[in-house]
Amino acid sequence: MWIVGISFVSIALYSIYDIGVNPLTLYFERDDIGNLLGRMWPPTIEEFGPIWNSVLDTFFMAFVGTTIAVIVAVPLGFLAASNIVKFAPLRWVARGIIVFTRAIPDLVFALIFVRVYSIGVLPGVLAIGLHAVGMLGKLFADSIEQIQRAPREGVVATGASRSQELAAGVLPQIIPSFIAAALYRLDINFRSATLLGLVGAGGIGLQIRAYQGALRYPELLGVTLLIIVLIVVVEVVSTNVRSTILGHNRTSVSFLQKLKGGPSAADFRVDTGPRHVDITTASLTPPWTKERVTMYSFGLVSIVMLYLSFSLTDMSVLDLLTGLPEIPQVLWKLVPRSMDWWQSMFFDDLVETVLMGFAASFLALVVAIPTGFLAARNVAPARWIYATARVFILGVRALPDLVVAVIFVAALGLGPKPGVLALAIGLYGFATKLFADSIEEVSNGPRDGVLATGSTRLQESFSGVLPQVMPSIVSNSLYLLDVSIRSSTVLGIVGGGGIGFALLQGAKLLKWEMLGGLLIIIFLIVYSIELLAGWVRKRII
Amino acid sequence: MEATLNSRLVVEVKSVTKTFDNRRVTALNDVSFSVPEGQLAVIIGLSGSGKSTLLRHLNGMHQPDAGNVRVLGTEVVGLSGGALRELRRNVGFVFQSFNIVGRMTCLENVLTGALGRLRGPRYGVLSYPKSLRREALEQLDRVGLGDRAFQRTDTLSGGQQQRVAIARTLMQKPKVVLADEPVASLDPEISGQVMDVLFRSCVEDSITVLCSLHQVDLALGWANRLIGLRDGEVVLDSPVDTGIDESTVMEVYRRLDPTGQKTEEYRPSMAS
Repeated sequence: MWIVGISFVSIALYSIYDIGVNPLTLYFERDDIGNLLGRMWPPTIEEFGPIWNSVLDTFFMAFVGTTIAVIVAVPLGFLAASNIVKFAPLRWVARGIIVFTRAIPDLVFALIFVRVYSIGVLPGVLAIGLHAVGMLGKLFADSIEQIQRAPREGVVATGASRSQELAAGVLPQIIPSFIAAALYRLDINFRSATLLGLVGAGGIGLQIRAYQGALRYPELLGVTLLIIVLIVVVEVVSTNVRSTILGHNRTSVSFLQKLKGGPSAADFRVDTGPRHVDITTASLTPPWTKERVTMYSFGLVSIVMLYLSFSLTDMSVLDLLTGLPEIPQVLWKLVPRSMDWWQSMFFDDLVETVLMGFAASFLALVVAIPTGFLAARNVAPARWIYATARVFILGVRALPDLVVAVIFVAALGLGPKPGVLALAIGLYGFATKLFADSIEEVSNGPRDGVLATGSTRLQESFSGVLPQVMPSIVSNSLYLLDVSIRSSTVLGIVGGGGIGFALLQGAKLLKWEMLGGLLIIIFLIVYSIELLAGWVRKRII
Repeated sequence: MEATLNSRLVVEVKSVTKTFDNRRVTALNDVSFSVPEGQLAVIIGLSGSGKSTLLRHLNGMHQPDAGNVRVLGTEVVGLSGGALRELRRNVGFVFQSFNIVGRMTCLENVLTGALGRLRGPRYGVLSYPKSLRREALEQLDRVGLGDRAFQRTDTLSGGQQQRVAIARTLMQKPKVVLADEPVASLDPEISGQVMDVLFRSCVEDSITVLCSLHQVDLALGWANRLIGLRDGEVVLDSPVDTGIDESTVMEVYRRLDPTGQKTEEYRPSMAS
């Protein structure tokens, strides 16, 4: 265990040394960054009409992409769940598709599809849809595997057929978590949809690329700020809708009863006298409860959105339907037939990519662990510190890492250094949120125990809280490393170093086998890190 | 039992043996008995004596290692697919843990009892025909929950949830009801009410009942026959009305180990 820990840290330290970044790099490079910010000031938004149109494009790309992903991922999730499909090889095929689509970043899919379907919204939608199938399929399969067995058994015992059992015993248990997962994914997809334009796949990213190319920095900053605001709005809306659909008030204890000190025995006398209703006149249709209204309006809004997707943007249903079946063919072209595509410089690029991943996640962690404590409601020294920290994180998290990379590349020049810095900032927001959320879940008993010995607040945080959150800090850190290496593969597309530049060249020159070969190697690296992380996680928890 | 010799036998169990864990644990050891039409039979015994295992053999949820099980004239052992579903439609099962779907309303849970009569999957109350919805409401009203038709079942108390499960079983129009410890997770007062609802409805619809129970007093109140299981063997089989004495019944609960350790630990030595 210690060997693994020490080697992780030493690889991270070596990467930081090799790439030449450290937490103070931002300070040392303040002249360059300040210079750039000076040229960016004041942020402006020109040509509001076209920009508004690309904002709409961006959102509906995310929406249609998510819809496609849900349609594909639902059957896939069922096929991958061990309590639904007993035939193991079928499950492995489903799991394989899930792992593959999840491992390839949507930006890479977009890179490929832009070459096949030409520049526009369509390749973006397909890229988002295909990549999201992976995460949604995994979440769906997991939530199907976690359902209670008893209600299903109850339905089977009535003599229901297989399809009836799935509809009556399984579906009601999973629908809320399915909707929540889809909404969460819509949120993530909107973030990535803002970036896909960088490789020509439509949306607001096209504008960013144009401004970057034309060195129109005030407009670049203006659009960036607009994106941040939109991402925050989408996240807040999606979080609220999710908690309305997931949350339900199970207790029937009224406020008055709570005042009186909880329910008394008399409140539960409902069992004693059977109450009869008049069968012939009683209503046989469900009343419009809050839950039912929420579900119906959710369905209605989704349908309206889908209609708007095709009427407000230049996407057409026909293009989509003819484009979808071509995907397997496109992916088949990527399979390398020989090793002719290999160039020795790829090895250095790949090593650099992994080192960038380590460096960025390490930098993010070093800052995120202490700030995680400040952003946790139950540990933060004061209410206002907690509130400030949370708002700060929300803002940082809304910064798309690739846009930050574009800006840093503009300020510091090409290479891994701006890439790592941008990635570290993106990961920092994400990591702080993960840590703060897990700190908020610690139990109070041990903390009271430590306080009762007369310790100070800081001592209590170290002895009462830290031991409780250590397992989740370690496992979240491993998860971050995983995410970090995935993301570092695409930084090169905007000049941020690593293998991304080779991927971009491969797509531009239509070297499909080279692109496919590199993707397989990336997949193997990411997958082995994931396996290693899974193994470490199991040993700790 | 003598009085009903001429009636049709609804349940026939012959020399059923069932082991778990690679034959290391014997759950049922050469169990034989039969239940005639209209009888209210109660199986008593300690936890782990094989009551649930026995009942689960009767609707094909378990398959025996040896022996035969006939229910309503159909051989259950080896039954699968459509034939098994056909049998289950006529055999109601009431579970200890209710096994209703918490997120669905009472009415929809009861309606799932009608799935055997319908073709194809259903989702939502409105996907069932109106006549069935009315029938389901009637069953719900019979168990005293007619006014809760559109309430989610996870907002109900345990006793109410079990009554929904009973209504679902009645909705099947079964010929026999198997009840596996239906009140084991309820408090004594509620237990009485739930047993009342179950047995009264079954008598009204002339349904044969085979029910396992933990508590002897409840069993004596309802059953017209007692079957005692201990370590997977039938150790008592007696009609209730002939003045059955307490010591005979308590013998079923005798522990083999004087120190009061778990009987499970003694089962391997029993098997060998």
